[in-house]
Amino acid sequence: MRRWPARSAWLVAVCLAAALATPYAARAQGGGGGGGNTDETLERAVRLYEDLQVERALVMLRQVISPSSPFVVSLAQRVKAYKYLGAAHAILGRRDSASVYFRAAIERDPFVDLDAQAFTPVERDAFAEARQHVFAVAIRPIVRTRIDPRTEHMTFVVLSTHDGFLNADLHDPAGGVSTILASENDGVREVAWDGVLADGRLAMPGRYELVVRGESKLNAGRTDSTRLYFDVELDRPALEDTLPALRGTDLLPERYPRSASAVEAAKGIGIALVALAVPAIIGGKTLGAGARGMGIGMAVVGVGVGTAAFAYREQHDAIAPNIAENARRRAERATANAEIERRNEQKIAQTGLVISPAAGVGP
Amino acid sequence: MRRFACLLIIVAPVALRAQLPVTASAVVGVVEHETTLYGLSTRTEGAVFGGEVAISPFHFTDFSLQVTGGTLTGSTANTADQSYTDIRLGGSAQALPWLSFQLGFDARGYGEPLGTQRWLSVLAGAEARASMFDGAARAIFRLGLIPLVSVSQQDRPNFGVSTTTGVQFLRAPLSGAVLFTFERYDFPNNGSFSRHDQVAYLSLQLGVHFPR
Repeated sequence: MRRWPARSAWLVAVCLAAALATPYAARAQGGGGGGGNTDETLERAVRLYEDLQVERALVMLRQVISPSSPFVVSLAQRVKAYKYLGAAHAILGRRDSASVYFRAAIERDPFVDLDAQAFTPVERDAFAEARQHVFAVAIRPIVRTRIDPRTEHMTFVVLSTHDGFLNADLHDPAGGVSTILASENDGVREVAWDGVLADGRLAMPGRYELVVRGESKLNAGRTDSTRLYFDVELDRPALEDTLPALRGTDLLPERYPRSASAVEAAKGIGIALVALAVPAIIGGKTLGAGARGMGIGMAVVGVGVGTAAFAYREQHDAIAPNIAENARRRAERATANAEIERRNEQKIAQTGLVISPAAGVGP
Repeated sequence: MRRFACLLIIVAPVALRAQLPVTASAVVGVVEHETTLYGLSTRTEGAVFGGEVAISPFHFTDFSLQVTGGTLTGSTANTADQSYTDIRLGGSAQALPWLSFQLGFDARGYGEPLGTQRWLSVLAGAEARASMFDGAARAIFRLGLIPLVSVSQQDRPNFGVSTTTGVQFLRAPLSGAVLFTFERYDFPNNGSFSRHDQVAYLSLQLGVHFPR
């Protein structure tokens, strides 16, 4: 068998090492946090553009937006590439191409703009013309914010790419809708919300959806809409529970039972019985007529009083002390609850709203 | 009798000056005194008049002084009339809203032409009350034992009991009562001597409560 020369063996080893290392290198270049190479390409293209090497810049910018680009291209990178493509074409006098690229940038990010310090009037005119042909509305993402509804408000930044009518509706968790903007608009606009809903109440905690709809005034029938989800939390001390309603066991009976009349009568009859029986029992056979007569007299009085008491109870079955005591307990509870409600209102008045961005579906 | 009537008249203003709750009442009653001696009964009865002052120095305590007097007429021609004088001094302490315990001292005199027989006794008992007419009246039931009795010129009874029933009305500042009291005293029976006495007393009181 013929042996391979030593030189060929070295060559094979180097090729194998290179083949193994290549995927790791590519991954390191292309996958580093969303397009490290795209960033470099864009920076180089921008530098070339600023050095007026526009044609070379165009080549690199086209590489970025090309579907065959091997690198990950984020939306922001793509928008930037379209913006500079539009600007480059404007510089070269290709207004139609400039307009196409600018529109592509605006459609992806309506907030995109040309800095007056960095772009010429020609470019900015072309960009402005592109904005006239694209109608889009947008809401700038929010950051977690705490507002005191008494003195502060939440600011949403909305935009329409050109003159149109904007309507911003806030959908609350209960299904209510509060309109916070209904106006003509052109460009960026700040919309303030004081945390109060259409019914005048402070916003309840939960997920909200801000829907902005726009209708172009330049291009009849052109509409656009966008939405922003956010969560509202109430930032305040815990509220106290009011005292529960008084139950039957908490109150005294306010009416005598039906048997009360008979009991009243029994008291009078008891007097009569004692007046008759006790002298007879104690006095025995020798009980005098006078004593017996007095006993009978007392018995008559007792029966009379018992009868009157029976009739009185039939007509007066209210237990006045119990009614007064129950009224006192109710008043005491009402006073305590009023105090709790007053303290709660103070806490509610100090309520802050914590508004934070949210993902997912709205209310 | 006059001395005690004066006492009543003195006690009431003193109590009033001390701003104690005082009830001053007029008392009208009928008394029947029956004595059974050797199996033979003699009865005297008649109307008595007097007054009562009740003081409540503490919330659950009452003191009363009642003085009554009159003439008891014999039920038969052979029975002599008696003058009747009774002075009752009592105190009660409320144990429960419907129950109070009582301690009383009674001095009574039955005057006859041959002399006056004086009865001194101490009563210990309890009173149960039942409110009526939403507190405007109350039924009264009293039972008391008379463990200490002294009778002049006579051995002391070995048993004495007193019961009272009736109704009191309380309509500030007025008060009233209809009370029936029955007492029995048994003297020791040594074979040759037997005696027991019964006193029935139906009274009507009308009073005024101070301060009004």
